[in-house]
Amino acid sequence: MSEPNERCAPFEEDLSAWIDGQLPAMRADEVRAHVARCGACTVRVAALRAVDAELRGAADAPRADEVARLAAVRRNVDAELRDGTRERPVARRAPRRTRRWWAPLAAGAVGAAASAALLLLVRPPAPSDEGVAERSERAVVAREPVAPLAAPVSPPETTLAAKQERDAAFARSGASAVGDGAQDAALEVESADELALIERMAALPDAERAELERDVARWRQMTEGERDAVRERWRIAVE
Amino acid sequence: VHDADEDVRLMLALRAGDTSAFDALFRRWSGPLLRFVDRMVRDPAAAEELVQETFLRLYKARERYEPEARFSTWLYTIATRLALNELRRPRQQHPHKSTDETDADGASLVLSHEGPRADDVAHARRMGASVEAALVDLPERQRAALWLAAVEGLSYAEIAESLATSEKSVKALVHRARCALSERLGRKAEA
Repeated sequence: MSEPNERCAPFEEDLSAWIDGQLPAMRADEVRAHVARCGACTVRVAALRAVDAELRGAADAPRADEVARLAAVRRNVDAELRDGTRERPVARRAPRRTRRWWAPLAAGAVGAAASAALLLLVRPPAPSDEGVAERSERAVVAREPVAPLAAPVSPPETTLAAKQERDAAFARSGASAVGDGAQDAALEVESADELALIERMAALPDAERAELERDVARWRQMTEGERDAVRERWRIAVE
Repeated sequence: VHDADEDVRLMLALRAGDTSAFDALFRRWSGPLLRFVDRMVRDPAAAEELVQETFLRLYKARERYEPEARFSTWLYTIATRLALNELRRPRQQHPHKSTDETDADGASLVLSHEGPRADDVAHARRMGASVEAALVDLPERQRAALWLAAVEGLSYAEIAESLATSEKSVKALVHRARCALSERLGRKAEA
C-alpha cells in the first residue's frame, strides 16, 4: 500500500471538509483528483468516513430508557409551560445516598466549611449563563414539587457570615429530620447557583468529596490576597 | 432524515398558535437532540434538563421565529450553547483540558477532577463501542462540531454559528476530532 508523501500534505487538512461537502467547488475538485490517484489518501478518506458511519450508528440507536426519559422531559415541559413546576429528571430518581451527607450541612454542623466552598465557587453572573441560572432555580422545584417557588425568595447570600447565621437559625429551629420539607424550604432561600452547587457537591463520590474538603481547608487558610487571586482566575474562567 | 420543509411548516403553525405543532416538533426532534446532548454532557439528568430547556426556549421564541435558518440549525444552536454552558459549571469540568480553546482553567485549581469520571467510564463501557469511548476523550467543542457535521449534517457555517466561532475554526475542530476517532478505530481494528 502506498504511504502518504509530500504531495499529500497540502490535502490532508481539507479531507474532512471535502467529506462534509464544505469546500469551494474548485478546491473540492482538486482534492477529488488527488484522492482518486493516491492510494494512501483513498485509505485515509475511507478511515475518516468509517468514523461517521460509527457515529451515525450510535445516533440511530436509542438507549433502552430513552422513551421514559423523553416522556418525563415532555411532562416537565408541559408543567413548566402550564404553571412553572417540573418533576425530577428520570436519571436523578435513583436512590439518593446524598441525603445523608447534606443533613449536617442543613443543620449547620459543617455549614461554615460548605459555605467557604460555595463562596469560592459561586460565580459572578455572566450574561451567557442566564439560562443555566434559570434552570437551577427550577431544580429547586424539582426537589420539592409540592412547594414550588411560591414562597418569597430572598436575595442571594454572598457573605460567609450571612450563611452561617442562616445555618445557625436553621439549627435552632430544630428542623433536624433529613429530607423533610423544612430542609428543602430552607435551601430555597439560597441563590440558584448555590443550590446547584450543593446538589453537585452532595452527589460527589467519597473520594472527590474528600478532595473538595481539602480544597475548602486550603481556602480557609488562604490570605485575602490569595483568595482574590483565585476569584480572579475563576472570573476569567467563566468569562 | 428530517424533512426540513415540514419543520418550517410546523414552526410557522406553532407561531400561529397551533400547539399540536409543538407536539409534532417534540416527537420529531427530542430523540436526536437527547442523543446529541447525552454525548455532550454525559450526565443523563443534566442532558434531560438541557433537552427540556431547549424545547422551552423553542416554545417561548415561537413568535419570533423566522424561517431564515434551517430549523434544525436553530434547535441545535440552542442546545449546543446550553450544553457548553453546562460544561463550564464546576461539577462538569471536562476531565481533559480542551486543546481547542483558550479558556483559562482557573476553576480546576480549586475543584479539580482529574481523570475520567467513573460514570463516563461506565457509560463508555456500556456502549461497548470504541468510538463512543473515544468521543468521551475529545474536547467538548470538537465533540460538538463533529457530531453536528457528521450526524446532523449541519454546514460549517451553521456549526460556526452554534459554537460562536469561525468557519475556519470549525473546519479544524471537525478534522481534528475525526482524525482522533479514526485513529482510535484503527487501533481497535489492529488489535
